[in-house]
Amino acid sequence: MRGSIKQNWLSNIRPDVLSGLVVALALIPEAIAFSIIAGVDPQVGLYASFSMAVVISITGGRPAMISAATGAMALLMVTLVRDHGLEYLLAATILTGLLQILWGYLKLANLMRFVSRSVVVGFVNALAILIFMAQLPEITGANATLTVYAIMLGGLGIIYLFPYVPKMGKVIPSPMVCIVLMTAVAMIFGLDVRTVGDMGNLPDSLPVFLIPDIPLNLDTLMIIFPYALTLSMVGLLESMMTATIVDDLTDTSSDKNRECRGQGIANVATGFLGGMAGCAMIGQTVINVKSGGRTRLSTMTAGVGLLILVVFLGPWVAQIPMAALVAVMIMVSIGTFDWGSIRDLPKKPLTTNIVMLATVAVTVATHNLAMGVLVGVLLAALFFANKIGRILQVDSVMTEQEGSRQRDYHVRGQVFFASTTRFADAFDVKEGVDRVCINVTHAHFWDVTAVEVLDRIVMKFRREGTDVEVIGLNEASQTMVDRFGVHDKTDGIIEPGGH
Amino acid sequence: MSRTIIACFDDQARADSAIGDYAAWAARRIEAPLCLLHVLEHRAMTHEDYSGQIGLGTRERMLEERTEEEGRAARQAREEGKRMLEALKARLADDTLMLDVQQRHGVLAESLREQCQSDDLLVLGRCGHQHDHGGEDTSLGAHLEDLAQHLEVPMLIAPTRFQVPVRAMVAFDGSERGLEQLSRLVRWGWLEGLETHVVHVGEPADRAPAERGAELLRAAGIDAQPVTLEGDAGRKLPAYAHEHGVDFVAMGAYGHSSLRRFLMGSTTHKLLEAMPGAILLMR
Repeated sequence: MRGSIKQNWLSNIRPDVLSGLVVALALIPEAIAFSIIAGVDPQVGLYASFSMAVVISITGGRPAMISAATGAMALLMVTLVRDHGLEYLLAATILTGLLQILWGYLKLANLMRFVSRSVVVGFVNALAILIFMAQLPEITGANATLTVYAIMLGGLGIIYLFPYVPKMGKVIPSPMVCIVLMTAVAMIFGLDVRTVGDMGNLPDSLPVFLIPDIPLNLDTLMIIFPYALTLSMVGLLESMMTATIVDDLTDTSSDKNRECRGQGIANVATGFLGGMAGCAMIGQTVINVKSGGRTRLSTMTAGVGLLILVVFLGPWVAQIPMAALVAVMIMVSIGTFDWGSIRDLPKKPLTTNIVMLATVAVTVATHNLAMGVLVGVLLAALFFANKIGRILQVDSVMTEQEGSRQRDYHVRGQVFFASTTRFADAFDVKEGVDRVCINVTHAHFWDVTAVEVLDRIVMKFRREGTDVEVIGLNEASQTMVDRFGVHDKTDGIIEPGGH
Repeated sequence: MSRTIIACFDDQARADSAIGDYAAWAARRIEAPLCLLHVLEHRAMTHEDYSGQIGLGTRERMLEERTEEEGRAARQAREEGKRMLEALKARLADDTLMLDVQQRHGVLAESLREQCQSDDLLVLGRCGHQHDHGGEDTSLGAHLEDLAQHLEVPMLIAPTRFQVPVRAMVAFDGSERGLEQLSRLVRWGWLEGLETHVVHVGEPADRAPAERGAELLRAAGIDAQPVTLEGDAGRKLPAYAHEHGVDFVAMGAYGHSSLRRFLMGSTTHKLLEAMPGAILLMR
């Protein structure tokens, strides 16, 4: 145990603390921005980010991954907050956590293998688009002033150019530089722009344990359950995908089911501390790993650092112009988007592209990441079934012996619901032969539909007066035929054949 | 006989490592083939880039850079390891040893879990980077604890400097399992020619178990003497070993659940830390 503590916490101290601080700095604007997306006070997102990061650093299954208040989750809770208020959101957050703990014990993470790469890419891209779209209200309509655009473009310029400044550029997080400089400019020139302070309360103290003030009855459950269910799914999906990304980047492995339970525990804690539901963050995690974070210490540092900064710098945080935050969020959305997936569109198979684009389209249209993923997974499954269904080949040869003609059919491939038509079409029942031998040594019968179609073909041959023999059924297929087939059972013959 | 002796070396190991000598000594003693295993542990590359900016294709680029850099570092480590193993082999090899070398990537504990049979013997150092400790043999490597707790294989834990063992101590708890372990020690020839102290620590002191143990050894022609001590095994056993110049200790290991061990500490751990000489940890 001592060894694992050392390995998980203390094996990479300096880079972990530094990268944790970078993440803490970058988390502040995001937590505030995501609170605003969800329609709650900035403190809800900030408390959530603190609590998620600290708890997951202990309970999670993927060291160095950053969990906090996220855009993916914020997008799902908009209507709950609008219709029922903050207390219901806190209750939903706790329920989300409880569900995730349950999913963890049910080993739901193992289902991730059914989510194909193109669905994951679609999810990530949709997430990026939604985060970007959530920024639009700040830069359109009444907010679309020249000052706002100047701050936003200036901010983006700093974010992308500052890293090229010699020495300093790689040491100080550029999103932080953007925010500090733009805030200073706004304050010095007394610019008339919306600031974080206009969006609601900022925390001036540490979070305290509280029980959401809601009636504990079935009605409440009916209100929060659908939200909690979606939140728990999307939270896990994004966490699992982010974990895979970190696994790849660091060439280490993670315990996905432990991560599920850890996310659950973190959300329960967050709900009781007055924070909104959160999950792993793709962008922040990439920032963390890029900055050298490798162990749980980096995640812990991010959470604790964030809280200290916010509580002690509260009055300054309130002065941050919203437009500067927009610049940071645009960077996050650009960094989250998988641009390679657009570049590779012409190179990839059509079905892969359709799955990816459908996931993006459905998500963006419904503002529901769960819906997008569901459609993506279903489409991918359909395409797969279709593809496998085509891996079926039936050859035949005719032999003639002493005037008796026999045709030997040789079936290769997968016989199941998607390939049965192809299978049936391959047999010429009208051919005048005496004997037919169907060799299925290299075929597999997967389902009842496949067995039924074999039955039907055998029956048809028999009605034409042809002797039929089916040979080479493998064990699994034989079991299916024994259970569901009729052609091989004398008492099961529906229509007596010609022999 | 499927029994193999696996001597484990890490990235920092050198050709003059005492682990090799102890492994060779054990291989001759119990007449088993010896495998020198060098595990190339994955070292995280850190980038001195704290800009926190993520742009187009950051993720893909990072993955490519990492793969390339780590690949380069791993190739270098593998070459160095190969040279080390060859030198070690050249130093240890003689007609009486069946010697084999192997390199694996990954974490030591995982590699061993994959390839160890339960009747193999592991030979490892007290801690990684052994030679850095200038003869100080007090700290235990994280690897060692991890392995001792999770692998059901006997282990020979080598101190920093090699010395042909002369005086052995067997920590004997008087149980049936303890007796079984004693006969196993005899069967494998571990104690042949060594002056052996069979030490039992009890509260209150009871001479019978140690006598019984020594009797068993003597019947097998081993120069054994029974010793009975009273008090805390974690302190008494190392003190006795130091006092009598013991250079080879055989003992059983880790009986508790990991939770209990974490809360209460473990006698085995204390013993491993405080014992002089080579330690044979039995299962």
